[in-house]
Amino acid sequence: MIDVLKLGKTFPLQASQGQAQSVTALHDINLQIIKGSIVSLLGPTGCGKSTLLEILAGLQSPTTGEVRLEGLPFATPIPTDKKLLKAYQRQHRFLSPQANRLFHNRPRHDIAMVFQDYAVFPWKNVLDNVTFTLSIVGVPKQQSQEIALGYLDKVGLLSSKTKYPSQLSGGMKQRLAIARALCVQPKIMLLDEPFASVDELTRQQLQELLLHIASATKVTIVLVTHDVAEAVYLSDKIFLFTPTPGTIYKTIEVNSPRPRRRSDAELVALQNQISTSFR
Amino acid sequence: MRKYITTSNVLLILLLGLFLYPLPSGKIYWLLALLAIVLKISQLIIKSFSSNEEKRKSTADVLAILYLFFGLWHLFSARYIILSKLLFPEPEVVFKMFFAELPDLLQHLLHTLILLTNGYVLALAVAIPLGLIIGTNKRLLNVADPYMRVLGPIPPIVYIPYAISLLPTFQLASIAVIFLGAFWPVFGNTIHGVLNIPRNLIDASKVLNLRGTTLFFKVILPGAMPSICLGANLSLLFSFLMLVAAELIGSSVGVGWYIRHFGAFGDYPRVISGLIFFGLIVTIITWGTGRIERHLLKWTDTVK
Ligand SMILES: Nc1ncnc2c1ncn2[C@@H]1O[C@H](COP(=O)(O)OP(=O)(O)OP(=O)(O)O)[C@@H](O)[C@H]1O
Ligand SMILES: [Mg+2]
Repeated sequence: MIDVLKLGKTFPLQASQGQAQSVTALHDINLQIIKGSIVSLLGPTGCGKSTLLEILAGLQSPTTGEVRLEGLPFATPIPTDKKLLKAYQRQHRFLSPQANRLFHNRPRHDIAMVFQDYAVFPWKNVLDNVTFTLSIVGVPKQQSQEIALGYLDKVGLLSSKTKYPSQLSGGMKQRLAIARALCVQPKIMLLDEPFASVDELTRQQLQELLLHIASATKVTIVLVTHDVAEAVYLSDKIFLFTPTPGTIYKTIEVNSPRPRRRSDAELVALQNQISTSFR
Repeated sequence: MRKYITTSNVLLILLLGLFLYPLPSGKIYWLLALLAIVLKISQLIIKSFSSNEEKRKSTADVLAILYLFFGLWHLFSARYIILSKLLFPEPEVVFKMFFAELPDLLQHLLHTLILLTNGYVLALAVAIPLGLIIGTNKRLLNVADPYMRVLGPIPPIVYIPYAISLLPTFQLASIAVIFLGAFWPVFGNTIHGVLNIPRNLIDASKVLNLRGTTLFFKVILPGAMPSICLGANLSLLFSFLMLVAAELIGSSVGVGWYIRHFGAFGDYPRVISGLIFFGLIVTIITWGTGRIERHLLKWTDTVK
């Protein structure tokens, strides 16, 4: 269970003409994500979806509010008090504070993330990107080779396994990022527009793959997307965002049973309802 | 048939004509003609080894310019003596000298290479780890920054006289000077490379819970590698510069010394032989480092 309580994030901007400026990316976000469910963050560009995901991944700290994981505080604001700040920094010397706290006394790899800009390692070829991730989790070499090839097959990259990311198309990089996130079987998966740059047919295949893995491993999935149909088809719950500042203005529960059909009248109606509410 | 009529082939024929047509004194330049043919053969060998079409064409063009240069040199120093005989010895004299002096030159080269590798490798061995550590540590970076700004731009040549009087042997002094010349470019570029690793890759490593040596060797080092290679190339050029400068000032062996020494005696055939030799050596070294670089950076899309 992930609880996000009164979360706010303000980015300081370069002071111009003596005035300190700032951007409020997130304001008063409250949401609850039940273990093993799939939720979507849906909203127009610039409303702070990626920022929220990065806070959940422990890559950024909130300015106000907090995130709790299984009831334990997981992401909290960096203290403004000098003394507290010192202690805080000492505690989190090398990693980002949140990541550090997350992995402290915990089994490794609770969280995997697919970044909006892929973030695959350009100096490792396709296969090595995946096996490297597996090796971090402690999978022995021979096994990791096998597992990696299996996931590359699932995302359709088997024939490009020796290529470097610079030789891949955007969609291929995205699929590599997906394979890298899936292969470690995390407890929480944070996906930032994971299917944005693949064609419709591949996208549907990957969606099925995601659903299959979700039902098989009981992973909690937080999905950021622009695509209303995708959100409706995949999610148990959809959070609709509005920009400046990013807030949730509506939460939609999708209760239709799985497996779902894309053309299901109920889903299509929901889609239309969401689309019109955006206008 | 037409594909054999290329610039370099036409020039080769002209050149052979020039060398083999006897002078009024009856002299025929067999050696130079042989050399021109050897050059052509080596071009054909290199061509057959290179994979892409553009490179094949360029080998012939490079050779054509070389032929033109030798042709003009020979023409104006041997056949129609327009150039000063002292400053522009004719090609045959130079080449005969080159081959006669080769054992000596190789011996001098040994000394030069010892200095070069010691200074350069030492600079890399210190600058790269130091740069990586400083680049990943904000506090150290803030400390190092002012020193880099002050010390970095000092042309290392100014250290030479001081180093020579400070250190007991010339060898140590020139190694120190090469070290200083080679250090800053690779050091600065290593730090620059670390700071410019895309943020998303660092984020990805954080989500993967990478830390310590794994983070260092699997992400920071390869991420900074393009910049490190750039710095290492610059450093190599600086090393050559410092090396020759040091030898010109304070040595009694080495290729740089050889050139200066015979220059002082006005023995220009030897000077030119030394220059050609040095050029060849530098080419071989940079070719080798280029291969290493290509291997290290085979994942980028810029180096081919
Ligand atoms: N590091 C940062 N510094 C300053 N402002 C930032 C930073 N990161 C994000 N922002 C601002 O926060 C707001 C939300 O950004 P975010 O990337 O979360 O949007 P998003 O919803 O993911 O958009 P998209 O759908 O286009 O990916 C934007 O206005 C952006 O300018
Ligand atoms: Mg985004």
